[in-house]
Formats: sequence, C-alpha cells, structure tokens
Amino acid sequence: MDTIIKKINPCQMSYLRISVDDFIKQYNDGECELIDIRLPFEVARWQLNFGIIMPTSELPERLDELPKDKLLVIACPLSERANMVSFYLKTQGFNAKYLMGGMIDLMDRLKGGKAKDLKINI
Amino acid sequence: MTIKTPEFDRYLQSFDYQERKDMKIHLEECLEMYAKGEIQLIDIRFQEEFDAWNIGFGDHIPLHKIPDRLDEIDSSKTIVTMCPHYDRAEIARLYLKLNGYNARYLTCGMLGIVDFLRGDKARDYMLKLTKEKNNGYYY
Repeated sequence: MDTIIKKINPCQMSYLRISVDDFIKQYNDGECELIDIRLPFEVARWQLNFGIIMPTSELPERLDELPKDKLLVIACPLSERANMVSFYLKTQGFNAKYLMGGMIDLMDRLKGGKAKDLKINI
Repeated sequence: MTIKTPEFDRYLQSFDYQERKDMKIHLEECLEMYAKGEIQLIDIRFQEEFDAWNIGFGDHIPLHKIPDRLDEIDSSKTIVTMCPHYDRAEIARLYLKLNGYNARYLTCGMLGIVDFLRGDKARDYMLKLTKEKNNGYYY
C-alpha cells in the first residue's frame, strides 16, 4: 500500500481514475466491467442494468467473482467510496480505477438518445 | 502483484452506513474543531500546487510523502485531509485510518474553504484562530 501511495504523481492521476466517456468506450470494446459497490439498501432503491453489484462489505470475501482480465471500473453515487475500493482492489492485484463523477454523472451522460452510446447486452 | 492487507480487508468488511458518515467532515464542523485545536488539518497536494497557492493555516504533507512522514502526524487529534476537491484527500484519509489514526476528509475540499472564507468571514475566522491561540485574548 505504501508503494502505491508513493507512486502517485501529478501527471498520473489517470492511473487512479477513468472518465465517464472513456468508460463508455472501453465498456463497448469489452475491455472493462463496472462494479457497483454501494451498500444493500442503496442498491435496493435503484440500480443500473449492467455491471456487477458487489457491496463494499462483501467484497473481500467475493474477489473470485471479479474478472481478472478486464479493467474494473468501480462506481458509487459520486466517487469517494469507489476511490477507496479501487485502491483496495489494486492491492489485491486487480487492474482497477474509479469512475470520475460516479454513477450520477454516468446516468446524466446516458440521457435520451445518448443512452444508446452504451452497448448493453440484455 | 497481490499485497496482504488484513487491516484493509477488515475495514471494508465492517464498512457500514455509520462509517460512510464518519469518513467525512463538513466545512463548518471542521473549522469549528480546528479553532478549538482538536484537528490537525493537512493539505496533501503536491509541492508545486502548494507553491502556487495555500490557505495560510494547517500543515502540508504531500500525499506521496505521508508514508515516510507519519511522525509529523498527531495521533491525539482528529486528522482532516484536504485537496482541491476530495479525491486525493480520500486516499490520504484511508491510508491514515488503516494506520490507526482517526482520520476524515474534508468534503468540500480546499476550494470549498476558499469559497467560504471570503471577506468578513475570512477576517472573523482568522481572528478567532488568533484568539484561541492566545487563550481568549486578541493581540
């Protein structure tokens, strides 16, 4: 963990986070997966129709359910908890980044006809 | 590369609605507690950013230097980390929390502080800090 912290430098914040537009592009190309890490009551209220739901508190026990070959894009409503979890996943050997602007910005981006920008397999 | 992080595992497993609140501190409470000397306020931005502007109170320890400078952190106080918004402050808060400190991050960031401390509010707050330091007397 010390190593990861010391590695952070001004030009490399992209090492930690991904923008909504980059997420959409990489998701469509099959290069990343979205992980919703909100707590159960929050998920029960509303959820996205793609990605993997994995509450923060269950995550350490369920790591084997996460794809190893993709970038994991961690999301919460804004970005503070996603930041923490993405950090954790990095320590566990995953390629993880948090979604800048969070699920709220992503939903805002997928408005109207733009919702079709994200290719979801339903 | 996998790093064993038992304390991180335990922290996430116990993460609940209460901790979701406790990890943060809002501006008003932060300024109040800082004036009373209950908080160590740490600007965790890079040196270049600090050189460009700073808020004139609190300490400065760049995020990537924190692991080597833990001896400058006062474990008897609540540690409040801050950066322009809150992304990096949250990483710093998490690191300190996992190292046993009582750490929170400032939700509004330093931009929130400078936006709030304008005009008479800046004057009043800085006077308040001086007063607390001098046991209730202005000098």
